[in-house]
Amino acid sequence: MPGIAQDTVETFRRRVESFSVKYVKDWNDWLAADSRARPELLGRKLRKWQACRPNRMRRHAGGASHPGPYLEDLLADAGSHIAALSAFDIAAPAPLEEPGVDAALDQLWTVFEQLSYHGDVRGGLAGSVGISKGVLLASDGRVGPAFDSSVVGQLGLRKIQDAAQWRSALAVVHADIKAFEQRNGISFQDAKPPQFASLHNGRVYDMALGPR
Amino acid sequence: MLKPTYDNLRRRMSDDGPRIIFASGPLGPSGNPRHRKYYWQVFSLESPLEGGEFLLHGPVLHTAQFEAEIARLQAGGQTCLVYGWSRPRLDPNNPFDPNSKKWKEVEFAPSWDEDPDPAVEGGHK
Repeated sequence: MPGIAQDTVETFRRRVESFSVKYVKDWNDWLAADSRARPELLGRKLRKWQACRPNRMRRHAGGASHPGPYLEDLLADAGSHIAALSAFDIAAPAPLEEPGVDAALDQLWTVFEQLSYHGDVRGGLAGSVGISKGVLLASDGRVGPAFDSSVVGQLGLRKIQDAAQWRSALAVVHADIKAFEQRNGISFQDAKPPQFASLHNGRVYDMALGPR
Repeated sequence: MLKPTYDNLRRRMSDDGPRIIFASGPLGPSGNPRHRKYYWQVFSLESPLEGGEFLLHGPVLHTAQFEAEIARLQAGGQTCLVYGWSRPRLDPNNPFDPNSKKWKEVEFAPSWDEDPDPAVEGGHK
């Protein structure tokens, strides 16, 4: 299925609700974890989702056989940029035009490129799938969706190679949401299934287009 | 979708003044003007064609023409039905992949730089 622009509210809700149950659990585990548990959990979730394949992913300090930085370092480096995006909402009127958003997203791209450190692809660095999944997690779903093959294919996007292209892809998502809202005369927030109403909009959009 | 017929139009006219009724598509161009180009068809009692004939053969306007036509009809006290749609622009700098399955049957619009149509406020052509 394509983006949500042509969806009725009922169709959109059905898409969100049919998102893979195992990934819903993964997300709940993440939201419930405290900051001390998150580095290990970040690694576990991203490896389970094969986010950085085929390259080798970094681990938390306690589980790593590679030199630093470790996942806790990446999360620490991301901290100020995540904080700068504390009000970011992909469904807001003009989220990508807010001051500081471009810079924060660019910095997060650079931080999460370090998710992987060895491999034949991208000079061993993480690509857009790993980076966008990492940011989706680190931002608790504010900055989303993650641009895996499912989302990229449904939106008809080019492979995302750098931060500017990632921001451009987020603009496509924003336009898709606005078209949906206009078609249905309802805000994205109000269209969300009630059981997911408290999740950030980036995550819910991710669920609409993500794996069943 | 509300069909572009004289009957449908007459039934929606109001004594309060001319109306712009968006029968399908967006309420206006939005998003990055370099990503998508918007097209419009405006049906009024002046349209020589109606129904499917209008949608197939009626004039297709770029955004500047659309805005001018709406302004003209409003000034003339005429209610109209608006049909809008958009196409992605073919530009290596924009995020759309022309080879994606999603765009298999879709004709891309020219890039913003190559589009000869005038830009309106907000940058859409």
